[in-house]
Amino acid sequence: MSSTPPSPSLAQGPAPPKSAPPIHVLPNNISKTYALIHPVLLLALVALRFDALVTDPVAELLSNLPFLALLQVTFVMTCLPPAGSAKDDDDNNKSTSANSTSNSTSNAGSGVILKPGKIGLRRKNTPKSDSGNLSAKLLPAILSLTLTTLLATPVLTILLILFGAPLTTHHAETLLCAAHMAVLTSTALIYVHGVDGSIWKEVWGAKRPADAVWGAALGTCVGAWFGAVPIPLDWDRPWQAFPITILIGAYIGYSVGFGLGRTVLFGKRLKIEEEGDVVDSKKVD
Amino acid sequence: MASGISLGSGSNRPDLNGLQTTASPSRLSERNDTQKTPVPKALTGRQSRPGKESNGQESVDDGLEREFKLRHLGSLGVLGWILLLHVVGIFFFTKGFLLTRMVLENKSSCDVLPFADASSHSAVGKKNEGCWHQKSFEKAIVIVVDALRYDFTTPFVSTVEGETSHLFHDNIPVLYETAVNTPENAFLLPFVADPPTTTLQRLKGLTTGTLPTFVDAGSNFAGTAIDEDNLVAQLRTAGKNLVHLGDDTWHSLFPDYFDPELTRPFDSFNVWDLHTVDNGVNGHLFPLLHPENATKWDVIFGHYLGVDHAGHRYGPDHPAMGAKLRQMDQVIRDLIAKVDDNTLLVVMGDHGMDSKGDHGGESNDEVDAALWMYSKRKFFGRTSPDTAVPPKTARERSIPQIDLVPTLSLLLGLPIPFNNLGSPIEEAFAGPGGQDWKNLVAVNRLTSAQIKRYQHEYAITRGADDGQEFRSLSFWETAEDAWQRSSKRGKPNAEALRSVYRSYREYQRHTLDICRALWAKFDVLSMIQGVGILLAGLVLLVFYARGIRSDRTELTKPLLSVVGLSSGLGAVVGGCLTFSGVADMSIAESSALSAAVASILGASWVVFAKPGHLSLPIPNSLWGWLAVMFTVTQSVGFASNSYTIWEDEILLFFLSTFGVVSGISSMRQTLTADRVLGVYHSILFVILGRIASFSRLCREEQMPFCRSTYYASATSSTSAPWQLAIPFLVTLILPAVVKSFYAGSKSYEGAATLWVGYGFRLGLFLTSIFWMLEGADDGEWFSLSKETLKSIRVILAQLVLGLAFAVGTTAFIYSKPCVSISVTQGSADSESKNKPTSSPSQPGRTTVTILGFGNIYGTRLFLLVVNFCLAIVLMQKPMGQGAMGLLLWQILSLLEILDTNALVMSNSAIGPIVLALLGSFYFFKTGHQAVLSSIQWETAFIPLSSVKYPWSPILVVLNTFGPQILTAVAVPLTVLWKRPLQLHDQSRSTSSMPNNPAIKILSDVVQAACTYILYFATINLATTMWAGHLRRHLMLYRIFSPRFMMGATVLGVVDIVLILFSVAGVRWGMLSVGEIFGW
Repeated sequence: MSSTPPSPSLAQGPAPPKSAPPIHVLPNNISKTYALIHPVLLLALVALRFDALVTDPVAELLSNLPFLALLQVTFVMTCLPPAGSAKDDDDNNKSTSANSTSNSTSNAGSGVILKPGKIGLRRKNTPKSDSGNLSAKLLPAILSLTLTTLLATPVLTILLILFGAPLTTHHAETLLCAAHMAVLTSTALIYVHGVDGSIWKEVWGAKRPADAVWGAALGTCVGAWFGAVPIPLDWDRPWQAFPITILIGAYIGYSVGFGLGRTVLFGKRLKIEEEGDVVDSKKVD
Repeated sequence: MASGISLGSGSNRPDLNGLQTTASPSRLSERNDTQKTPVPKALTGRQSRPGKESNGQESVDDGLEREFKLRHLGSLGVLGWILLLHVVGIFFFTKGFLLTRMVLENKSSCDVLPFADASSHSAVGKKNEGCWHQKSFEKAIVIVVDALRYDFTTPFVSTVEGETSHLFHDNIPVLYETAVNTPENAFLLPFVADPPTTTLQRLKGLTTGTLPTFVDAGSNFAGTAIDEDNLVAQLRTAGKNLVHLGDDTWHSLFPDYFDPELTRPFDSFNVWDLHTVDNGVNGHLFPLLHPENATKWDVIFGHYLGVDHAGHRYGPDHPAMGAKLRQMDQVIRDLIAKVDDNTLLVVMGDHGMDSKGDHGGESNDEVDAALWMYSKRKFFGRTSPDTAVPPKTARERSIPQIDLVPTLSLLLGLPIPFNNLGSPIEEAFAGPGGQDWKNLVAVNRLTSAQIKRYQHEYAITRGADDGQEFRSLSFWETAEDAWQRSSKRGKPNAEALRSVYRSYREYQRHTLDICRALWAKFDVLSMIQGVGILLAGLVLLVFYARGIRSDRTELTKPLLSVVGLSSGLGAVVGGCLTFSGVADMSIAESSALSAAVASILGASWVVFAKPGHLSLPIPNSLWGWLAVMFTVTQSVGFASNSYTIWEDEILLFFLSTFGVVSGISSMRQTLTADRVLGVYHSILFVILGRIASFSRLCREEQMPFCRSTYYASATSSTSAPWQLAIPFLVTLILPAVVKSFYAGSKSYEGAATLWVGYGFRLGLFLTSIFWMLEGADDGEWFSLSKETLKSIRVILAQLVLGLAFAVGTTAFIYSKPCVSISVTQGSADSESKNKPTSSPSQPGRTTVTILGFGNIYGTRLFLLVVNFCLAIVLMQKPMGQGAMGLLLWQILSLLEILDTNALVMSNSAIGPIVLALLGSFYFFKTGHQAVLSSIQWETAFIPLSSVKYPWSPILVVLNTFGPQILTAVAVPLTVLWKRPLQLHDQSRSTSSMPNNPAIKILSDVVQAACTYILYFATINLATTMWAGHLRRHLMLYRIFSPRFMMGATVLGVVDIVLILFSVAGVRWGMLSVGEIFGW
């Protein structure tokens, strides 16, 4: 949860043998450009609609949700490899796993050139027609949106309530807040990973190597966590009402996580256990 | 878990390293089939006792046991020293922080007027007409209706849209009616108390006319005699015969002032009893009003407690309150009918009550009382038509309670008590026409002069003369000038007199304000000394708990000897300093201070001298950082009143955070069993916490964003009928839950079956019956008399406490570990081939089956937690019992989480810290808040029918800090739960220095205990510093000061519980394991 102290908790560990590698943004110019614009767009959306959000959170959240979903879908379809191809990517990587893992330790910025898997993917994709490409992307995008609505939103709603969101009142606020967070966190995750059990196990264990997708998802949660901090203060500001700060925190966390995941922290993993302890238990096992 | 091993002699004990290598001991139960287990010592002793080898083993064991016991005592000593540091630090801070006012012992005398120009004072007559001022009444009846809030007495007006009248409204209309219908006979005013609003403090204010200080707050248990000049003493000096009826607090304040034959004191503290005091007062009051008894008395003080007790017991919005107020209404009507023309009748509340009927703090509801005066002849007046009708709310035209003192003194022809700061009440001196300005000026000049005289004396005694006094003196001079001018004019007009009156009035109120500020004077040096000791103690504790890499108990001996030596030396030096006059404090104080400082220096030398022992106490995992973050952010947050107010929500947030992180961490575990169990318990942990969070008691500042659920309604302090089902649910579920956790490691054996299955269940059942009878008493469901019900309840409660503490402790000390050992003969075992049988007398092989081996330390020690849980559950209201049940469940869940995430053996700080968070969280879930009025004093009467020292305070502590106590008792479990059995390695041991695994366990336990203390010590230091820093903050007494007091008390309680029960209990646990399995 708390990724603030990066030195001890986010350390570079050797990738476990079966772990899927971090996801790169597609290596074409449109994708790379849009990946830069996308978090800015999201933040701009929040900033622009902030006043409306404060006056009538429920209506505003509801009317913004389609736009957010649209933006996310555009983002994943433009910038990310869909689930199936990621699998290929994974397979390719496996054949050159030694190469790949050594890559992830090198600077992330030059990852594209050094990654044979990516090149292979591009080669494979190039011959396909545009329409086929589109449908190959649209389908996972729709799937990811559906699963986000059906699974991620209820899970996040429950989490919000467990963290102290009101149970008897503010149902619409909680649900919509969860929906926004779900679209932010899960759309991209489902799009690139599908329903691959082993990867989702990694996600639940927060073990994924950092990339734009995972960084953004984790960032959203951490941001929402910090968003709860100003609520109790007695400043009597209208924006201190329940879901607003949490959502703002989530959006900011998304953008920060997105940026950091792509760049500085790329490929690193969140550490929970004590360093020495892990070694001990390894020895034992 | 069944492990087959063959028996050899004691010397052949298998090497246990194989067992220790598992990362998480929970797997013991799965794996032990193939592993070697230690042989129970009892069996070896029974079956092979052939000679020296065994004896040698015995002596080694004895040595190890002695070593453990010695070091255990030493560890308790170290904890005791930490406790002493905390006590000294808190004492020095408190000494400087809690306000002090000098008590002047000067008395006003009839012969000495407060001003020099006595000749100019026309009103001085002969003594029987009154001294200082013409007396108006010969006799007085002063009735205190405890906790008579102002809004009880006025007709209900809706302040919020749609608000309907409550049960406490419009039940005592006589005061308002008389004040409106016959304004010349009566008046009614809001009568605002100075906090703290406890009866003892209020009586002091109402009789001395001066301001309270905070030191006396909470000494409601034992009042002390007033040595300042006061109304009662003046009455006595004037030769009046005084009668007191009712609340016996008066007698601790004014011993021997009252007529012993007519006076009837009643026990004031039994808040469950609504009628004894009131009926007693009535029974003795009305006969005195009979004409034939008229000469026997001059002033009667009657103190009714029924309204206050109804508030404490049921809350204001309850039919019992309505009935009580109607009874008071009738009492006052009867009094009106019986008094004669020369008797003044005064009815007042000494304080109000909050929405739940409690008081002590300074919220509006608590300070707003009512004052009503009545005279049969036309006497009272209103100076303006605006003041003709009593104010609608207590916020308009209110007068401070100390105004009663000069008013009553002058009306009865007495000198005004020397320390008085109040003003004469306008209505009482304005004359029936309301235009007697001359009289008003006269009384106000007298009062002002007395206040000036007091100020002068106070300044002389303090030896300082600061600017504040001159500022108020200028008001005095203005008023005097105006008076001189108007009196020279011969026959002054009303307008001039009115302005003179106003300027005297201004002087009085200004002085009052200045004194309020002046006595909020803090001794900053003492506060800094206290904070310094606490801070140094905290730093040492951080290193001792988290920085020492080697065995903690090795430090014990040098630490204790150096600490003992240096503190002894420091005490002597401190004593000398005072003796020689260098230090300006008492010998005991300076000795304590320098002993604390010296022992800190000495201990630092021991801890920091060998850097090899030490590492920087910086967390090395996310868990460690989480623990630091939880503690530090909360401490920082106490600087803000908002985060202090919403502490309960913040704790829930942190606990949920821990649960989610532990769920994530559990997902990472490699073993499926660990993963599934870990995730399951993480989810359970979070959900249980959230369920518990529905039990709330809101503090005033949380409104309107909070809804109280702890009692039947927000304005009540009784449980709703449905809440009475909670104890039965707890009885049904909680033992089964504990059993399931024991069964998880096959430990539901031996003492556990008896104690958890029967003892605990029986105790909980008796508790449920107790609270059902309590509910029946409140609701009057049975025809049984109140006394019968009460005595049945007392017996039940004492049974439960006896079960928990007497039987439970005995059981805990003498019971065997929760394992079952069975021996079967004959069956062949492959492993036995490796083992030479050294005992020739034993043919064949023996299979020993040990159940419950995997959690041998944890289950044994948990019995102590069960004992405390039972006692604490009894002391809680039904809603709180549910919360305590959830707490026990969450503790167990936490222990499983720690185990599955390999946090038990790694001594992670997160276990004790989360326990501390749980303790703090459930403090709020058992109907408490960090405010004085939420203390549930009435729980002292659960197993007792009257106040008994020291038991009553202990019972209240058990109720108030039950959750922190329970988690403190559970602290050693964070390093013992499912910890594998470790015995000393005999093959490698030399006769001189055998390694002793018990010492390692002890070191870990001490570390966990210190980490637990660390949380509360940090919170205490933070709240202390913030309270000191924000000492001029508007919210100091409402928010920061109560939180500081709570932090300090919790720290002390937790220290003591850890020393006396928690760490001490480890001794019996270890001994009983050692007895069976050796050392």
